[in-house]
Amino acid sequence: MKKLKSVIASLLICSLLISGAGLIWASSNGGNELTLAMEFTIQHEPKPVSH
Amino acid sequence: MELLSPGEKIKKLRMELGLKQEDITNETVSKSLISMIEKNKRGLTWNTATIIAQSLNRYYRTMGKMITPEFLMETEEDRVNREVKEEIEYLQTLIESGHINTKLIYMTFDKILKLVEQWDMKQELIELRYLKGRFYYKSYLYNKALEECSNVLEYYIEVRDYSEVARTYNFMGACYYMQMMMDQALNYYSKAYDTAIEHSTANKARIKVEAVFNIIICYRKIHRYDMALQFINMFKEIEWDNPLYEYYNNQTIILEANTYRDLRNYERSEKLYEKLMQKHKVLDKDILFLLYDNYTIFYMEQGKIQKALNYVDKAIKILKGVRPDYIPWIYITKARCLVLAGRYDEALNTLNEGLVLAEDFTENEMIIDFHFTLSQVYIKLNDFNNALMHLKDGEKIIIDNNIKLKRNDLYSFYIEVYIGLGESSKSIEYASKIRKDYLALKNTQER
Repeated sequence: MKKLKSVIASLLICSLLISGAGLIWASSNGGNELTLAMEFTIQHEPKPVSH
Repeated sequence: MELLSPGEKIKKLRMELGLKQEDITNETVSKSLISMIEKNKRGLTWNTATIIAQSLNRYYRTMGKMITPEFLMETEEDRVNREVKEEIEYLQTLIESGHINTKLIYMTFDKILKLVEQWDMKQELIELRYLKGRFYYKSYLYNKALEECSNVLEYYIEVRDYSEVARTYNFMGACYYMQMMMDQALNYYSKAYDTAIEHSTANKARIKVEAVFNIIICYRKIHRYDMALQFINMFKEIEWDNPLYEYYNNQTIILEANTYRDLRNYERSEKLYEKLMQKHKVLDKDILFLLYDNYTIFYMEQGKIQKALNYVDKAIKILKGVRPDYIPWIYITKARCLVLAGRYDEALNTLNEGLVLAEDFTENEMIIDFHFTLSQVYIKLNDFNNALMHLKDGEKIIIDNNIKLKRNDLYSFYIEVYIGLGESSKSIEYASKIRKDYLALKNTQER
């Protein structure tokens, strides 16, 4: 089975190609970290789950 | 915790009632045998333990107490194991219940840790460290939780217990999420999922459900709605025959409805909210609260203020018994409704009330949200000094915790407030922080 990380990477690349926006490879940290453009809204959503 | 050998235990039980050795003998168990057992010179067999237990029970039964042969035969090691296990279970219930008595928990941790170290119980020591991580997490001390987790992770990788490796990865992801470090959170959730699949762990289904659910929340948080929808579909395909699945599934319906709402597909969003509303009588209270809160936002965004206020009131009506860390949110939602209705003073009162509650939780994001919302209301009222005060409070939390996600919001608010205060040079300073310095003027000036 394909690893989830590679699934995420390919989905991100696809959506980047389609939308052409939203995703910025941060140059300040050598491009290692993925920084995502944000806008200001408040979300009232479930918290992460763990056990 | 007193540790006694079987012989010492028999002696103690006998002496407690003031009995002599001959009082607990019979034709097969002589006084000299009992004496030798009590001095640890002879081992205790099952038969002898049964006879001694029966003899002791002749007296203990009248006190409403029963001595079992298992209890008498338990070795020191067995007993330590049992008691440590019981204490760990007790701690776990205490921590997960959410009603945390910090002093009691620290005392219990210290007590078990001493015993576990004394008896060199490695597995239990790790379980205890994980539990301490959970305790820190519930106390909003995420860095400390991560510190415990990294030790736990190292151990489980070494002994190749991949169920626990996956569980720890998922938990670490949650710690990063709560610190608003989304890149790391996504990374750890993926590791949890991949570990569970690769090693086909016993907890595979649960890890898959939890990791995918957490990934959805992450993508929602960073506004990657396309990715959130992909993972919502992935969640629906997971099979897990456990009552918890329904609980997570209902929350996923809220996340899906919210995603369509944020994409302005109100028709699809409403259908999903209604799907949950139909079972409002059996829904978990926290989920119902989230549903009302988000339904309010749904109506607000379409300018249907009266309907929004109806739902905010419904949420407020069921506050009792809702997770305490969810409660401050409804104050922000209500304040937004009131601002839309032009009732600014009521909005400010509501927000200040909510801020007091939020500060009890030291949950950074929530406190920042309150300061920013308050700031925005003051900007609307042209009260730039009060707006500035709340920005400074928000900034302190952002800097202390290195919260990148909220930095641009902060700078953009500063620009607006300093323009309002007529300090254009400061506005320009913050504007330049948001973008790159294309002419590299800063470097040139420094030289």
